[in-house]
Amino acid sequence: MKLTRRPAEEARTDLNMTPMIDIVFLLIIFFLVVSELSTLQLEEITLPRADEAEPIGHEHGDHVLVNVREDGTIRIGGRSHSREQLTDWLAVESDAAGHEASADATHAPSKLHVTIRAHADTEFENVQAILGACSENGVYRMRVMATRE
Amino acid sequence: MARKKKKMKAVEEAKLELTPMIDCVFLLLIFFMCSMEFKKTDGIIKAFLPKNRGQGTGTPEIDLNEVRIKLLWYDPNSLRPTEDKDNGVVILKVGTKVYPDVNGMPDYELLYQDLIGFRENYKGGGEKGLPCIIDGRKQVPFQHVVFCLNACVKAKIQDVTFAAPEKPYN
Repeated sequence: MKLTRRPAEEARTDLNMTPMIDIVFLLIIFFLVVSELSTLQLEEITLPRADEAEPIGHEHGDHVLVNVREDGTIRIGGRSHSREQLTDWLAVESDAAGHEASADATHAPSKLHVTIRAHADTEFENVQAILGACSENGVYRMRVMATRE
Repeated sequence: MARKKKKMKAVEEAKLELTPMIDCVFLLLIFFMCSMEFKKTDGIIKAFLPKNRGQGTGTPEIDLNEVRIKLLWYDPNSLRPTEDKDNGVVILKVGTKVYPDVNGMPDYELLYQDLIGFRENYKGGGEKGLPCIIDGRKQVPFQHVVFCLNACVKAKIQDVTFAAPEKPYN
C-alpha cells in the first residue's frame, strides 16, 4: 500500500477566533452595563423645548440629576423621593461635595451641581419644590435640561 | 479494509460553525455603540439661584430696572386667576404688557425682542447687567417657564432668577 503525503502548501491554517470572541463579549457586557446605568439616571420624560439649549459637555465636579415626572414624582437614580427626602438627600450630597470659600462658613454655597430634568407638562410647583430644597441647602449651581427638537 | 474505513469515520472532527454567532455579536455591539450615542440629544440651559441665603440683615437692594416676567394662570372663561390646575390658560405679562397668543400660547418671540430692548436700555449698575426674574404661578406647565428662560438666554441676559413660590401668611 502506498501512502500519499499531503503537500505542505495545502496544510490548513486555522484562525483562532476564541480571543476575539472573548473581547467582543466583554465589550458587549460593558455597553450593556453602561446603558443600563444611564437609563437609571435618565427617566423616560418628555423634555421641554428650548432652541438655546447647549449640548451636554464634560461635567466637572460633583453633579446630581433630578428627574421630575409629569405627575410630580421626583426620581433620582431610579428611585422615587418625597420632597422631604429630597431636602435631606441634598443636605448630605451638598456637604459631601464641599463648600466654596466664604467669610460666613455656615452659609457658604455648595460646590454641588444640580441638573433638573423635568417633564414639559409638569406643574411649575413641582420644580419650585426642588429649587426651594436646593436653596435651603446652599446649592446654587443649577441647570435645566431641555431638548432642541 | 472495511475495518479501516470505520475507524476513520470515528475520528472525524465535529466543527462548530462560529460565523453566524460572530455576525450576531457584532450586530449587538454596533447596536449598543449607536444607542449610547443617541442618548446625548438632551441639552441644558444654565440657571443660577441667587446667592443670598442667610447673608446680611439689611434691606435687600431692589433694582427698579429689573424685569419681572409673570406667568399667570387664568380661567379661560372669566379671565381671572384660578387655582384649578386642569382648567386654565397661561398669560404672559411683563409690567403692564400682556403678550398676545400665537398658536395657542403666549408670543415668546415678542418677549425675546422686548428683552433685547430692555437689556440695551438698562441703566442699572449690576455686575451681570439687567436682572430678570421669572415669576410663574404653581399651576403653569414647566414648558412655559423654559420658554421664558430660553428667551432670556437668547437675549443674552445673564442674571436670571426664579421667584420663590408664594406661601400663606401665618
